[in-house]
Amino acid sequence: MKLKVFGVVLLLVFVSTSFAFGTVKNPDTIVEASIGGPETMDPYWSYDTASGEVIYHTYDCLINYKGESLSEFVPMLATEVPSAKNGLIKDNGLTYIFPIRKGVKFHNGDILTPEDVEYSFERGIIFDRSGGPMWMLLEPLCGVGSIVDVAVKVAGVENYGDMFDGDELKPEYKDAMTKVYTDYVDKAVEVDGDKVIFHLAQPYAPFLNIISHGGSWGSIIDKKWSIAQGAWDAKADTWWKYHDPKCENDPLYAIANGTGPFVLKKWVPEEVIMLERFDDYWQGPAKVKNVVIKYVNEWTTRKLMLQTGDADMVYVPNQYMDEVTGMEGVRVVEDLPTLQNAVSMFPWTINAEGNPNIGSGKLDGEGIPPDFFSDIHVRKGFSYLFPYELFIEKVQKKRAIRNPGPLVKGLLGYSDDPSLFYNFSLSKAEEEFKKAWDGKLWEKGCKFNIFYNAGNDVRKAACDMIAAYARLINLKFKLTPVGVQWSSYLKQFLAEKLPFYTIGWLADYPDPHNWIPTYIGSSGTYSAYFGKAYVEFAKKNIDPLIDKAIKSTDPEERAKLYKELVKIAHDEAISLYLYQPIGHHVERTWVKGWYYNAIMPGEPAGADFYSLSKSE
Amino acid sequence: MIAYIIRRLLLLPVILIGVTFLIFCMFSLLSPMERLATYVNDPSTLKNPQAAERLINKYHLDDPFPLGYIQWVKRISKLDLGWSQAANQPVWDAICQRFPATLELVIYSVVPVILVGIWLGVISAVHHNDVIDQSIRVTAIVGWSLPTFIFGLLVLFIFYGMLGWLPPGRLSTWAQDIVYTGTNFHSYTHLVTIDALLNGNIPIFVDALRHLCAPIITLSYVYWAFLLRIARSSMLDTLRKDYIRTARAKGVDEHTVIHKHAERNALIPVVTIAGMLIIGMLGGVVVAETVFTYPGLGFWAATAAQQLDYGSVIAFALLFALLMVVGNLVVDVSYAFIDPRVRLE
Repeated sequence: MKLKVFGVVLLLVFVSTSFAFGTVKNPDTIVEASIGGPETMDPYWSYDTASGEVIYHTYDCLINYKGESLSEFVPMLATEVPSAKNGLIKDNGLTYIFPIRKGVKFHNGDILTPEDVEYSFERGIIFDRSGGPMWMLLEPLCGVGSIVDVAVKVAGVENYGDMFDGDELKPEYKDAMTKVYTDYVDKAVEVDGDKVIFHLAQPYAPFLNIISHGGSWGSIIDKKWSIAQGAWDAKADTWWKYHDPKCENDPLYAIANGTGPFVLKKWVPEEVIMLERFDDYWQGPAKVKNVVIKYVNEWTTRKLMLQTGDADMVYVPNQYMDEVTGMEGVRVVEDLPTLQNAVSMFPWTINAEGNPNIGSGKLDGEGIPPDFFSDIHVRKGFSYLFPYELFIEKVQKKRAIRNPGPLVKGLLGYSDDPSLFYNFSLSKAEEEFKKAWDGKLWEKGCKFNIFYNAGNDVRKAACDMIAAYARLINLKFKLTPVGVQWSSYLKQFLAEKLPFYTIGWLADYPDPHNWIPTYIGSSGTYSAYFGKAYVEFAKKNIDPLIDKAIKSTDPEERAKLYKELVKIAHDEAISLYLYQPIGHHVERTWVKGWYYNAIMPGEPAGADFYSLSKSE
Repeated sequence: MIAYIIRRLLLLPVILIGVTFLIFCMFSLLSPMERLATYVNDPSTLKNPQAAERLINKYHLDDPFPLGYIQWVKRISKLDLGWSQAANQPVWDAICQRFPATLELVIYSVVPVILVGIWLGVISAVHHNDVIDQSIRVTAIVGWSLPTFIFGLLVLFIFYGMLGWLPPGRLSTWAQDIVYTGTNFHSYTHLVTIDALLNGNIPIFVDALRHLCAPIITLSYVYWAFLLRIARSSMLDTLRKDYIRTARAKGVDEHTVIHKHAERNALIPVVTIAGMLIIGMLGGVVVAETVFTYPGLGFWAATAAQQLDYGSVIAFALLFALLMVVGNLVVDVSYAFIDPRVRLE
């Protein structure tokens, strides 16, 4: 009998605590249900959007983007946005001056000083973890991609590791390593009264975009607090001990003390992030008291959390959008251009050594020669062969747009000029293929594998379409779509063994310099692996324009140069520019104040929590 | 008995070396670059041409096999299991964080599994081939053959989506606030229900229980079906034994025959299997934890497998192998206590 009574009471408790329909659930708390949690809380380690989303709200930058804009800035911890007009950009773009705001408090009560700003950037530069984001600051400030490059140059050694005996620096290299700091790092960022001055190694047009990136390399940390936690002690002759640590050995890995609108209350990896409003925030306290980000990988669970109001905003993959459209109490914001794209690559020279992907390695109908794509007619043929509009409609369900080249919509230099787009045309494709390899390709046919990373159904569909239309146009064109695990994909890509493959890019900062060199520059992340012939071509025809564009401080001139580069990409059919995804944001209708900025970490699924409130 | 235990204990390190060797062999099939790619999910991280080389050196990915194995065993013996990409924290921290959650789930699941499984098994055997037996068997077959993730999703839809009773996760947002950040809540055992009782916080206890119910139902349904079949067949065997017939012939009442004479003996193999079942459940929570976003070992293992996070997968395999080996030992030893013939063999 007692057991029955207990059961009934327990059931009543369950029921009474379960429903809260008709009212705003958790009115003081924004709950986001997302996937994949942060890697770190250290801004100078962070290079993933999940970490960025949290760091964005706990730290501030010197300047930030103005609302939805990707090109206008507002001052944050600096009191002015530098420009040539206000005299804070000088020496033809080699000097940037930031007057630092007074009276700003860190979460622990420390007051922000210009020395904190100097320390932040210098610590970031010497920290420079492998595969991390610091190349973005090192390029403009030191003219290299890594602090290791500077050290190797100054010390005159072949490898950075040659200077070390285990973890200890060999005594003979101590002076050189100290010099790396005093001559390069220290000189790059200096304090002058209440100002911080950046000395660039070369004019670098997107420098303000880089500095303004919240959630990572632009964040300002508390020098005194950081040193107390065990971070770099700000000394010239110790920096290498703090360079490239293991993530978990980084003293700032799991803690945070910024000037941002929220304080990190608790981080349970891959489970939850809990943020609490910082009442002394220099712009005034946020409207909501708490922010909770839950990491829920299972879509059904996220959907039910949204439906029951347990989550205010959730990440919804494209294929599930129909399930939330029209859901009661839910707002769906669509057509949000994201700063990412997908491109199929045609490497001009393929590594033929032990490479089964190109069959016989000859143009005999049983393979392709290693330099197959060096013939422009082959590239143009494939550019006409892809059914762009059909793909976007059927595969992407209209949640993507086309790009004319490597630049995505929303960036400087982007053009909608129809002459820059290839359109699906079997007759034009046939015309080009007949010209390729002096007609031998059309006569003999070709056989090779085309690649996508396994599990990516969108890219698989793109490969299937290309293969099907190739077969349709000429039965001797035998392209086999192959899905491989990402690890193997990356390995074969780096070995230059993939003849045709699809890959994507997500913006680090919203400037064409983050895209054009990547896709078509001679040392680009992708194009550097197109083979020697392409690299030579790019050095001659592309790099000079890239160099000119990065050094120019005139936006109009830069836009013109990037348009010219896009035209080259189009005319030479360097790659097959597939699509730019269109994002969406899904939230409960009781959430107010959301806006979209494409470069903000976590957007469009997440939000700038500082601007949000909850009410019916 | 002591000799038997020592013999079994001596075998333990040999088995563990075999297990670690096998696991290391499998992952050594990947080249250093492939293993590096499992650390690097974004090719933009290779913007610096030297980065790949530096990362390979950093993670000792190009060491020769024997050296690599020895170094790896040395590292794991110091609990340095590497970095978990799936958990975004050191692997050992990930295990420490998630093990209590899984243990709590298994502890609460074991009770219905054993009680219901044995009870239904006995009833089924006693009512051999009649309607009750057939109904129970059909239910068991359905439970055994229904994919766990389908049953889990059904439970989620009904008890959370429709009724709103049993939410996913381990705690509600308000409860997380108290448990994770509250100064008045002490985590003595990291088993939230137990800690809630020790802290005298009944609302947290109820909230944790609400979150446990759905995965418990999902997990139990599959496992009790298994245990039921074992209990039923063991009971049927026992009921056919001579001493049961003798007891009945002596006029002992049926209740005593079943519950005193037959059940005790019939449950010896069931107890043995139940012991292994508990260990097996620790590895079998993957689906239940994933569906209900319950932050335990299974949820982590599933995420790790999807991300090719080999550090985590190795650790999970190692942990599970260790639990199986130790669990097996405990069961064997306890069985030897129950049945002296085992020792003599």
